Amino acid sequence: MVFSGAVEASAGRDDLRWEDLSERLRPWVDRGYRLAAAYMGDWSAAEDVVQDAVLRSWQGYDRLRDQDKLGPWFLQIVVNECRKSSRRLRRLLLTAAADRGQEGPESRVVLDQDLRRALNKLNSDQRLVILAHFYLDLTLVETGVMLRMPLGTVKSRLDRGLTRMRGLLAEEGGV
Amino acid sequence: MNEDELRSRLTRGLAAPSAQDVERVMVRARRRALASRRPRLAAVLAVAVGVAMLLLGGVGVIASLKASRVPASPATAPYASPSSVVESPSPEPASPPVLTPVSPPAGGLPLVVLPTTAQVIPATGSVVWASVAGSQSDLLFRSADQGATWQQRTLPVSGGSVARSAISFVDGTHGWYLQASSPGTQCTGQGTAVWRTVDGAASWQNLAAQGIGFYQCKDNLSFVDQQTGFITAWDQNHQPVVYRTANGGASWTVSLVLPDPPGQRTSGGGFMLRPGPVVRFGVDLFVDGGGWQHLYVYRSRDGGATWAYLATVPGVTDVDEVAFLDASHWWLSGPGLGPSDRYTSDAGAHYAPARGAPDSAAPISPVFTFAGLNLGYATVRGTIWRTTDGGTHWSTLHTPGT
Repeated sequence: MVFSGAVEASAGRDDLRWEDLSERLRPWVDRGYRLAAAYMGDWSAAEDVVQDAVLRSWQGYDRLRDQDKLGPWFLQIVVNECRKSSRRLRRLLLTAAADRGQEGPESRVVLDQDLRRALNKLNSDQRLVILAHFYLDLTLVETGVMLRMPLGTVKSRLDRGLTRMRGLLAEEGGV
Repeated sequence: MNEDELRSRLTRGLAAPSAQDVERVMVRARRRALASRRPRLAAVLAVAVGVAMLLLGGVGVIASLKASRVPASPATAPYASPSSVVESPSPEPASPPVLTPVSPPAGGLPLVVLPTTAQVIPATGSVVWASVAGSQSDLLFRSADQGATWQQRTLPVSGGSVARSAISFVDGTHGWYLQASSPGTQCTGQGTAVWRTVDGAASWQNLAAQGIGFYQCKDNLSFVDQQTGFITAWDQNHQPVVYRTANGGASWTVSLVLPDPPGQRTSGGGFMLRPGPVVRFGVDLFVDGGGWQHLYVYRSRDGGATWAYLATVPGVTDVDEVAFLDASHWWLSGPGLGPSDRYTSDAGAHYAPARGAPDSAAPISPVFTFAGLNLGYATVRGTIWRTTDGGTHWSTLHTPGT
């Protein structure tokens, strides 16, 4: 009886912790989803990544010291999962849905091919900084937290990324 | 284009998830979160029951406790000796099972329904194997003419019993298959079974392999000859290791951990290295490891017992892959490299753009694998290319089963 009660109490604490986290995290899940989809170019892969990131957030929630940084911290996990998943996907190899004329997940993600091509030609940090600041509307400080970069590095990568992207879009005739 | 225009174009140009998409993610994550706590609760319950029985002084108490023993903590016994394997998918059968081969279906109908994937394993100069993912299960094919024609062969297991798998061949007849069960949360553990074929994948034998611990996820089975093979193991919170066998897969020994590379410290929660497949050139073994921001190359000169950091792939943050042509010629690929892949002919001291690349419209770069300095294959989205001149020119091959 005693042990059964302890188990129930533990489960109850987990439930409460989940409710607390999910309520605070939900606004950031949308951003994480968009970031993952833009980074990976694949809707279903993005969903897996965000799901993993939510789970990891739950597992590490108690260790988050600065609760005000929950959002950028969550996006940091999303970025990490994106990088790992991108590598894993390529190792396990990818589906051919888009090659066969099906309505593949990519067609839901990218509506502007010129923009997508330009983004793909940036290096990873430049792409992430631009997506975080201009697409997710994170501040530069939040972007730095998310990418674990000093503010000065964020600024310089943003500047270089923008310059390169303008050039790439001009080549594509997009501006 | 000013910054407001860029912001607007990004918002218009990239689709957003619906509320249902977000809700689905949260529901599934919650389900997984609850599932991940079950073992803990089960352990508490098991201890509770055991203690209660002890208090009652029952005769069967000890047996009960033994039966419900919680797996050894990774912190105290992370890597398995043969006696400490927590989960063995095939617990030492008296006579290891031999798989009855399944005849490939007659006729010329495509075997693969979308989506399809392909993995190419060059075994010799002419023999190449391809594992293709069908709609229900993986399919295996062998070619004796560098992929010009293919014949279907059998796999030992497929479908729902395999969460992850890896396959390796050293010639047209000798091959191994790593069957891995669903991993624990954060890859804390994963059961495995190793199968071998000696007749060109007409039949397979479960080796009941000894020495592969449950701890960590297992990837990248690679045999370099009929006796010597490697499996890499990793998890989200610790440094990776490499298992090695010198008797054709019957028994395995674990290496010391791969040390942290310069500039990266394994700190848990995903800040770790994930190793690729082991390759051998002469007496040197090489493996790449994907880290938080860079890819690193490690080398072993003692057969895989210890590994030393060798190189950091420079200047980019998301190189995904190092394909080793030999000890000094490496082909790098990944989305961070821009329009062309990179190539080094001096073990990473200098890099230059690759001489050529497969003509792929996919937004991801292909996976490359080489069988020497000239012959190589690339795959992306189920499409297979071949080069016979070291990557300068690539031609498309028919993907078997499609």
